[in-house]
Amino acid sequence: MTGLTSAATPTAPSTLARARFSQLVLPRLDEGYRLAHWLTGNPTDAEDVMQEACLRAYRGIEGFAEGNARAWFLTIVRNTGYSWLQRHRPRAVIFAEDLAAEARSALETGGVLTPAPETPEAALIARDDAGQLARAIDALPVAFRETLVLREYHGLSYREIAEVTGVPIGTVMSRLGRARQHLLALLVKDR
Amino acid sequence: MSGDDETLLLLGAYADGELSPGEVLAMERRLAAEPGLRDTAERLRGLSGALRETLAQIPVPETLRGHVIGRIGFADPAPRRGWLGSWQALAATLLVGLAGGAAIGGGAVYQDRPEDAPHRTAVLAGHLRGLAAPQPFDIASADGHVVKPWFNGRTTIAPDAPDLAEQGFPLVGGRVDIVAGTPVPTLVYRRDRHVISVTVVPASGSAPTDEEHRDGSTIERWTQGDLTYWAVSDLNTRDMRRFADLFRSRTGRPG
Repeated sequence: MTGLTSAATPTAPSTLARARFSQLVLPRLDEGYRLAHWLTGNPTDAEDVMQEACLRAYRGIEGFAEGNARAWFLTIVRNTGYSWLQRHRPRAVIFAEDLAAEARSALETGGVLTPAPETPEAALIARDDAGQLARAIDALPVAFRETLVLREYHGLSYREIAEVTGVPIGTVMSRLGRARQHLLALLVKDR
Repeated sequence: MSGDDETLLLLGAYADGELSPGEVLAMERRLAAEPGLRDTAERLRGLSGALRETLAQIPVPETLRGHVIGRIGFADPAPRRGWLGSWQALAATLLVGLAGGAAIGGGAVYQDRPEDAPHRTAVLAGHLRGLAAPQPFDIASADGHVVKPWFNGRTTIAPDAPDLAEQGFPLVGGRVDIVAGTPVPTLVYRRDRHVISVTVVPASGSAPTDEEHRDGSTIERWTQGDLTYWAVSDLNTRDMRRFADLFRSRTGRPG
């Protein structure tokens, strides 16, 4: 939990902290909020997570030296989101890795490498189906969901995702692969 | 892991630009040879596009920024023990003052348009917090050519900082304040022991030139071009007007 310890011992003027906060955190509120939203699944909880994450970021801002401010802030949002999940949806965290069953059934029903019968574009999700895709993302276990969001929406590299989520790069790669495989299979099946 | 799983994983990493040059070559050779693999690559690309669109669709509440800033403003740690109390008292006074003003005058006391009142409060709060900190600026410099570029990238406005040292108002630095949810530049001058904060915001309409006294501070406001300047200090009115006049005359442009 970054930042909580430094709260008790502010070392620099608060004006400086506020200036750094304006510079480092405020421009990233939107992307932070969207990560929080995909973690918690609804706007109210996403806002709560963001309020707490911003407070943590502010308190820890002296501790952020130089480097990737974006990954630093997203890490705080992600960890705050996880704490929230642990408090309110402990099952989501316990079964965070539980994609095996769905993935297996997807393979049994044809697998995603079976040549698509139609043009590739037809297999893609039309704009009208965005709601269906959103529900499919929501249904992913949280570990896969966050990896997918950090890659596809935030555009982080595997290395950055590994830093934010605290797992090895190989795990990032396999989570992404499995999440994509799962979504493709699901969308092919439901077509 | 089955062969299909691994292929999909590699294909994803290929699309993400995360393969080594050797792996990229091998993958491109396979793509050239296997139509089924090309189809899958195409579907993965389509999935990525749809995901990006769907993930970005979440609307961000307009109130988020304001809530965060409000919470941070009141979370400022006290620089010294015993000081927090006085700041809270100050904040309370400010609120009472505002409520009183609204109750009595309904806008007659301050000639602000409704959207100006929060600006005034934010500017004053920034000044008071500056006084409360060990120093009232984030960058210390008596040189306007140092202070002005310092704001670049921190705020959307980088105001001219006229040199008024000879007239008895030396520039001492600059800081970033938050007004209406936006970081804005504040120039900090001194007159003997008094601090003068000049906060610069984008002009909205034709804000009148005016002067107000609130909680022992004098607030001078004027608009030049597309910028509105708020000068706040506990200086006496005469010196404050002189400062404002000097500042205006040095930043004014023809026309």
